[in-house]
Amino acid sequence: MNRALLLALLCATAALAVAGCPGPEYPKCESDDHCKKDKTGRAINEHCLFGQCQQCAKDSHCSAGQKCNRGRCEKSCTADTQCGAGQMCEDASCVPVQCTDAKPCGGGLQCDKGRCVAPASAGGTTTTPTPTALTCEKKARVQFDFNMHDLRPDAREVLDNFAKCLAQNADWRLRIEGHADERGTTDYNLQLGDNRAGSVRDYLVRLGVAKARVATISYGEEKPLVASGSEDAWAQNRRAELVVQ
Amino acid sequence: MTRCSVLVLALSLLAAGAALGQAPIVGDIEGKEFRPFPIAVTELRLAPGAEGHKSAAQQLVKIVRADLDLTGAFKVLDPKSFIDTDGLTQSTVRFPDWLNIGAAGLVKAQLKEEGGKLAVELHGFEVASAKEGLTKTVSGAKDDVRGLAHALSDEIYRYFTGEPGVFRTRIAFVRKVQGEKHVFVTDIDGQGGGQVTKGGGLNLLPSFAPDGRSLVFTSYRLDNPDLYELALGDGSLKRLSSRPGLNTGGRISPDGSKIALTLSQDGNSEIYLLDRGGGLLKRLTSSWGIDTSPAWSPDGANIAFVSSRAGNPQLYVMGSSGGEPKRVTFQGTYNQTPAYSPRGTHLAFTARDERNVFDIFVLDLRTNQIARVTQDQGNNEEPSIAPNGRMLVFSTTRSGARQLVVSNLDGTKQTVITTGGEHSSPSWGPFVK
Repeated sequence: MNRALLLALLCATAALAVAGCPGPEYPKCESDDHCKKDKTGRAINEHCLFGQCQQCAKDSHCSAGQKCNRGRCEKSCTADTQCGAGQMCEDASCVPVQCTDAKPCGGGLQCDKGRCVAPASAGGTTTTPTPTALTCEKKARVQFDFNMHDLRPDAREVLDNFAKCLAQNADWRLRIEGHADERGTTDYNLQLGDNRAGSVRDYLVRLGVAKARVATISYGEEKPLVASGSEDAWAQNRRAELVVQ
Repeated sequence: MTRCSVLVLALSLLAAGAALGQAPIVGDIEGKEFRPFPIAVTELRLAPGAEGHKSAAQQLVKIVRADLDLTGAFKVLDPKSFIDTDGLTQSTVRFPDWLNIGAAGLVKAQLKEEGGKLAVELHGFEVASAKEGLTKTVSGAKDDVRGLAHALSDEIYRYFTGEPGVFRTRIAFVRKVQGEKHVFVTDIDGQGGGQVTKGGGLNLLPSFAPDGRSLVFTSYRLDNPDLYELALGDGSLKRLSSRPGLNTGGRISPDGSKIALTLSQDGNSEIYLLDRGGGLLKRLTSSWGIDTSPAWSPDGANIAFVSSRAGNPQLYVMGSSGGEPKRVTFQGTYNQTPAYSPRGTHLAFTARDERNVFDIFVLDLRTNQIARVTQDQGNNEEPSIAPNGRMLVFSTTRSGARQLVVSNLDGTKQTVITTGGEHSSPSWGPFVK
């Protein structure tokens, strides 16, 4: 080994240790110290959030009346009226509305104060039960909230009705298909769809349907009902389909 | 120990390596100050008798330049920026001319025909020190120009970085074909290869066996998501697990003896171990939530996975024979699909960030530091790390329909390698033996 070279390298290392460590290159960061200058060396005052220099990391980084939402300062609010036209108050920040009269939700959802919501009556499912007469179709659909597999009240209503139909039609064999929206990974969405189909099966079994009459399968995000990347398409795609075989 | 002192320690180790003549010519790729190494790759010369192979020579150099560019370790100089009129060997190269155009590295080569094969005589130079450190002849079949080009790229990459290249490894992925989903295999530049599954409707989540000779994947061909193994040599298909419910995310252990996968046969997604033939060995997890996406550590001692046991999906690591899992992600509410680096020190994964967008992150298991790879380029999901640990592949929606991206680890060099259609679930295969 060349001792002179080794000595030189060790000296260089020691010199670097004294001089301090170069930080990651903007906009990447490990601490706020790395967010004081941009790429051109211009002085800025940003904050390190999740490895990336952002306008803010917490509310105190924003001016009065604003709060930090996902790295950006936004006007804070407690009611829609505090936000301007085309904006609504969500999670204490003013954000653009999801829908307007000119840009409706679609998918059976209604626009309520800028938000897409299920109709108050029956939640936008295909089999709308009426309280007076029992109508039995050989298929039904129930919907779920994001990353959830527990049954919403509108889903329970549909399944209560379906359980009665299964009781009246002893020859029906049921297949439940669980689905997820396209967001998130293929694998996790398969599990989510499986849990959704399982929630529907377990609920029907609690209502007295024999477990042997019910089969489940998950398709994850593979068979969307509506192929578009909008909030209401996703809402429709998070579902379980009940199909009589 | 602070990150700074770790860096100094790493530099000390590097210095010791340098004294032994092991420092990579391109510099420390992991270093904060790393800049892509400027390299000139000249057109291939045709040796007497090889004049008929002009188009092969052009194709070879085009693929080599693209390969080197893909890594992010090199800045491949525009061939219009230089004129190549000097010699092929150390004594005949005019190094000051190459220094003038900003080349730190130089690659020259000559194509010959030998015994019915294409043979490339390769010369690699360090321009500043006027040193020829790579002199080698690499040959290949006339009908496999792509294979020969990738072999040349491997030689060049090894010379300048001191590490093995991955240009002859392959990537498996899923592509939508006429309403069905099929498993494909491609070169890492997205070229070559093709569809490997037939029928079955939905074929999902492919993963290479450690020897690269087969793939495990989930298929609905018998109306249930069952686990299959496909031999890439003869195309034979074997059903490994067809238990009721999901049989998904199968991953063969590094020693090839076991398979980790997710089954929902007990009413909830849990991770199990199977023997190589599909027989049940052990249930590894037990929680009310979803447990899925197992990934073996390279030494086979641990399995990283996703669990929603804390209310939302987070990454955990457990011993590969079971035991209490340790949670390793605490930021964000939606962390999925862990993939180990080849040294077992990092996990690449998919996370939904503060803006509800999915991006690729890398977790250093030694320091718990998380680094972001993608931002503001659509949704990015399902990373898989190359066997040399220098690149990863993931899916993206940045240009509309889902495509595959090959990226360096810090995300400073990202290349979309596919076009058209819908591509997802990439799995980077092992080194070719």
